Amino acid sequence: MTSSTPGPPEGPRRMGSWPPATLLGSLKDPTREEMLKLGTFSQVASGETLLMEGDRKTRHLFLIVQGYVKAVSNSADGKVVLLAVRSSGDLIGEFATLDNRPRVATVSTVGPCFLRKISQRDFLEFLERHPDAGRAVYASIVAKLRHATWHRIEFGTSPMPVRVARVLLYLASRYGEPTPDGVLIGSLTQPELAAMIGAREHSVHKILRYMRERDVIATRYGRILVKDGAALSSDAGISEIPPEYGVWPSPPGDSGGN
Amino acid sequence: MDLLDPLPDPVRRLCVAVEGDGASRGDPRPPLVEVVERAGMAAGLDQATLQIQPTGVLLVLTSGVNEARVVAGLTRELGNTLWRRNRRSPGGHRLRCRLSFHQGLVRLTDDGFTGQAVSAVAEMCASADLRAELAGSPSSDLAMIISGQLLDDLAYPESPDLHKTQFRPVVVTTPTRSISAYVYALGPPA
Repeated sequence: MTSSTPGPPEGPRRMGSWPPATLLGSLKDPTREEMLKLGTFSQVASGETLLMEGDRKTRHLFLIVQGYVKAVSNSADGKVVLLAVRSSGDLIGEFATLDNRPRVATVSTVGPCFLRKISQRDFLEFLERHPDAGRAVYASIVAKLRHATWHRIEFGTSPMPVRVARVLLYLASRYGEPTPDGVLIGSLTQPELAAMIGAREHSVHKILRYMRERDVIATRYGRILVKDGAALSSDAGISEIPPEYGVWPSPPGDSGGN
Repeated sequence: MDLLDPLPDPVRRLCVAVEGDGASRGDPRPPLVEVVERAGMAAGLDQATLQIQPTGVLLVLTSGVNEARVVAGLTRELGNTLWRRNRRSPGGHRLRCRLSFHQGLVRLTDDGFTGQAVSAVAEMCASADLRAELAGSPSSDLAMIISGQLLDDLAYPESPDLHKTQFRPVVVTTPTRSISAYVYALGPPA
């Protein structure tokens, strides 16, 4: 390119918009831009541990710029329990940042991720400068607690097809993009989905194929399109998710449960 | 416990470079970024990561993406976007672009994306072979180059939209490496 005034390079940024239900999606542009400059930018490969349950020393947190992570915990009977799945636009590790207590879960990547690693000091100073971000962070923590309650009730030790359907329902509600044909879930590979629910990729492949054959989901641009939310809810064994759990957005005019 | 290495993990990703061709007044990148974003969204790449480079734009795709669909879709949509833009302003500056595709290991640091794949895709985009391809096709708004390694994987029958016969094989030579690749210039949209 021939240019009379070539400019400097600029840091990476997401091409599309942020999912509105996430922390970054809820912030105004200037606040979001500043938040996306906090800490250090890094790429982490699939299957890497970011935070360790019980760790008392670290207080940093991560902002997920792209990719999926899962939070797991060891139950009293020695089983690994999936606590949560998080994706682009969400924070992870902020509990220890805010309360100086040990990490409550082990968090690992389920696919390659772009993350910003933010120190406790930088994050708290940012919240002081931006009360609107503070309110958004508190709201996101409340949303996590609400969802954790539902997740504990509904996920449990369900059969594999039910778990796949429930994770897809959750991802569609939190990170999905409504389209005329259904809700489009962000880029998600079968290995990532399998890692989220602790299944083999082959099993997930068969479950997704069965959903496609029934026109419950489709694949578009390599992403999953939920075409029939009612059928997916049925697969998940859920007739209705109570709004107070915050898994589905509140209907218009509803201020939500308190 | 700090579980992240100072040297970030390398991940194999599809990389795309886009540069404008020819002289322009001022910084030529803002219109280029606008065109690339418009084409990228039309091709369904809203989750790609964009980095503005000194000479153009770099796109780094999500891992596990359907590479054939990205190559065919982005090339088509970039050609369409340029054609519409240039047709709307017949007296204005005609924007013509060079586009390159390669995949390989990518690292992310606070300075942005780095790695062999990032360097190679930039070198292919700036190569004399690609410039000559665009210069030799005055009616085209876009010429593209794809590494041989990538096209070998993606070409028909893997993808019905990528036929090797439409490309011309070249070897991009830089002081540090030689890259087998294929070039072609797009005609106006059908």
